[in-house]
Amino acid sequence: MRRLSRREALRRSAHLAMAAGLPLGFTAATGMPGAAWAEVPMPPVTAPGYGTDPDLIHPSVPWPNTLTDAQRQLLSLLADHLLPAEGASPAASTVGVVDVVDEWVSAPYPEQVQHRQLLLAGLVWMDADAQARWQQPFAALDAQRQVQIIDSIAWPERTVPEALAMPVLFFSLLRQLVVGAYYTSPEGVAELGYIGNVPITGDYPGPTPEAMKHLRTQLAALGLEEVHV
Amino acid sequence: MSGAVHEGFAYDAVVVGSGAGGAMAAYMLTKAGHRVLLLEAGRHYDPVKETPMFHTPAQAPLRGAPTPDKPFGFYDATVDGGWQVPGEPYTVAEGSEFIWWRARMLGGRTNHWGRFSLRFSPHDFKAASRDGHGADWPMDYEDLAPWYDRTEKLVGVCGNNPGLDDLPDSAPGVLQPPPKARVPELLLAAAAGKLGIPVAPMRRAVLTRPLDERQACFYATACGRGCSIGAAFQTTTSLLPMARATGRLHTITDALVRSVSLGESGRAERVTYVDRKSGENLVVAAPVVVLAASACESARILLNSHTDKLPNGLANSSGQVGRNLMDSTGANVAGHVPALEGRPRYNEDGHTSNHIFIPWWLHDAQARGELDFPRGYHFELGGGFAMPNGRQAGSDSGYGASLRASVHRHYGATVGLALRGEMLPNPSSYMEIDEHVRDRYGIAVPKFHWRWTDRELNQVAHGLKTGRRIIETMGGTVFNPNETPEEAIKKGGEIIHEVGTTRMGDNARDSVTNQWGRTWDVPNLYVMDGGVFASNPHKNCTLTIMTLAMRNAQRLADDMHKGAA
Ligand SMILES: Cc1cc2nc3c(=O)[nH]c(=O)nc-3n(C[C@H](O)[C@H](O)[C@H](O)COP(=O)(O)OP(=O)(O)OC[C@H]3O[C@@H](n4cnc5c(N)ncnc54)[C@H](O)[C@@H]3O)c2cc1C
Ligand code: SF4
Repeated sequence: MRRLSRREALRRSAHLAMAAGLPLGFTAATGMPGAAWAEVPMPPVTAPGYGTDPDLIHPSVPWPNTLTDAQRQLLSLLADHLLPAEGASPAASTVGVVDVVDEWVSAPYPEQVQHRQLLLAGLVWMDADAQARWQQPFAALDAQRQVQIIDSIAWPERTVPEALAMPVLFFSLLRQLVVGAYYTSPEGVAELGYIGNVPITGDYPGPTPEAMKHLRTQLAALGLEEVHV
Repeated sequence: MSGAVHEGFAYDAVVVGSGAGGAMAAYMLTKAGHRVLLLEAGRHYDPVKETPMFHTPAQAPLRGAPTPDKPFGFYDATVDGGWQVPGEPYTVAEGSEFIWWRARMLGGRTNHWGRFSLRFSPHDFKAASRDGHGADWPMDYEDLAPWYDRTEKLVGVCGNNPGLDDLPDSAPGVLQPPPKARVPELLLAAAAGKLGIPVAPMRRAVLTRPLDERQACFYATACGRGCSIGAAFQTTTSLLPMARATGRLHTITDALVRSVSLGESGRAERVTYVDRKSGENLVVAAPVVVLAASACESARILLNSHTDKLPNGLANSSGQVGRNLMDSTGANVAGHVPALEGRPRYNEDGHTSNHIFIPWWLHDAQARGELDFPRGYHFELGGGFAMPNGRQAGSDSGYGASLRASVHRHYGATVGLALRGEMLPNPSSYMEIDEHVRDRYGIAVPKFHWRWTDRELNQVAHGLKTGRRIIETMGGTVFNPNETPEEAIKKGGEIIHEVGTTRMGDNARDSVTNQWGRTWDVPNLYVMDGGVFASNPHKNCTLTIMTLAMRNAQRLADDMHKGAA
């Protein structure tokens, strides 16, 4: 592992944030306890992509998953912090989110290869930070301490010490991947209440009476008049 | 007429390309009794068997996300293409930004186009006379109106006649009924209404009533994947099977045309193509040639058909081949609208695209000189409870219960306005042949030059301001309130409405074809794709490509019967 200089870390985080379309916000305050960000050396991904004419009816993923059991376990834990079980909704780890993230960071495409760098280094940082603060790996911490670390990197709109710029970026990426995977799973789709993708016979029925009632209330509140098209 | 024979098939005309223009030409010619040899660079493609209609993101690699292999997502219908076609590059001049979307499949880009189908209006045909920019069309709206009617009827277009000056009426009974507007669209309409901006049902080449062998839309499944039931128009479920049914169409796929050669008489005599599978060059005789390989591909064929006698390429005595390249301007305004949060769920798929839009509404203000740009634009309106994709997190932060709540708050509460505007031709936007770069078959590739001018940037500035006001009038927050027109305007080619590279006109000096698509220089050589456009009104080009191809192929068919082609 190679420790990055502060300047190098900043340069990289800005570059990665742009490439990944992630928000970025931090200032130059220091003095926090915790681990420094370190790059993880990685062999290039050599697996094939699916090509420009894949079978769309029987989709398949031509590249193998590459994460280790330890990486997947840590991911699973973090995914459940992001989207824990709540009411009727299951926890992220139970709906295949880890597999999706593994597939994502194992893919040979440029965006995914970049994400692989950030994600794997982020997983290392999570453990390193836990070790630096409490001399234990992240998974061994009690929930409160886990949350303490997560809280330090979960709010890209807040000002954080420079040392946390990369961890914040990592966590934003993880959030995007976990949320994306979760809400495309059948359980996530049901939770959001999406009820399309079913064939309708006859004309499209349009909004329900309840939906129109809600709209009219909103129009009235905004001082807008309904337009009939 | 001199016939020709290929592998036992006797034919009267060669059509190059099976997309919007080529399939229409082949359909009209075969229906009129002529026999057509259709050369298509892409592979055979059957939407009935190959369209992943109800597949979900969960079934796709990377949840269906775009990749360089499939730039519009895994399920997009595009075969072997997108912004790059493997082994078939193009180049872009230093300082220019241009991207070129191609597909290598039967039916071309009609398999996945957006199906927005707006006919041009009377003021679009003579705009140069009015404001001095660009070129007039060598015809009037009235010449084309009956052909628009016939094309819309054959293609199947839903919409209505609201009587707006930017949206000329179709003849009674031509349009199919439009689907009902949905909640975010109704809110957008109300906000626009307050600002004095009209909305209208979008006209789309989507059937809401069955037509021929094609079924009506069942209001599910994104049309960009293609439509296995034929409701969303694509040539592979309509014009091509109908032309085939005449028994007078013979199609060769994987046939990439590289050049057209003249005989002693100055008529086109031979078409040379590469069999993409074997790499072999093959030659077919050509009694009549119709180029419809798309604007830039057809221009490339003409330029690459240069000889010692014609160093500038075929049909290029005017020097206009490759010039006047235009796309539409494009820019997006989007925002979050609290009034749409937590609203009652219902099936909001509709025909999975805009049900309503904002046509250009400021002709009068423009005529009075109140605007600092000469040509108009429209807004395509979006938003709703779409099938969740892998981008559900947006810019949410945090974790746990608050994250979940934030995802719910945003779902169905984002609206977007996509601007599509008219670009004017300019001397810095054109294509030529890059003699230094060849594709895998040894054919020299196009090189693009591009520049937006203040006319486009001022138009986009107006659009950004207007779009933001509409979102604010809905009580919404604009995502990118400070984006400048320079940042917001899409790249050249990005809206995928390239036209103008073989423009039509009323004389041989400054145009490549006459109003019938017949090249001035070669009597039996025609162009029937967007290359012939004299200008590029903001109303998405494809309906007009098909309308011109229908009209001009009918004329050609008549001429062929008379022995005059
Ligand atoms: C995602 C997307 C959305 C769009 N949305 C809209 C919309 O809503 N409304 C609209 O009006 N337009 C839209 N368009 C644009 C529309 O697709 C094109 O304007 C239209 O398809 C152009 O028709 P064409 O016949 O010129 O070319 P194409 O449809 O591209 O067909 C050309 C055919 O020629 C073949 N070919 C190319 N070169 C050769 C060669 N050398 N030899 C033999 N064959 C060759 C190609 O493989 C192709 O099959 C959209 C395009 C895309 C990609
Ligand atoms: S929405 Fe309608 S037209 Fe579009 S693909 Fe689905 S069925 Fe076809």
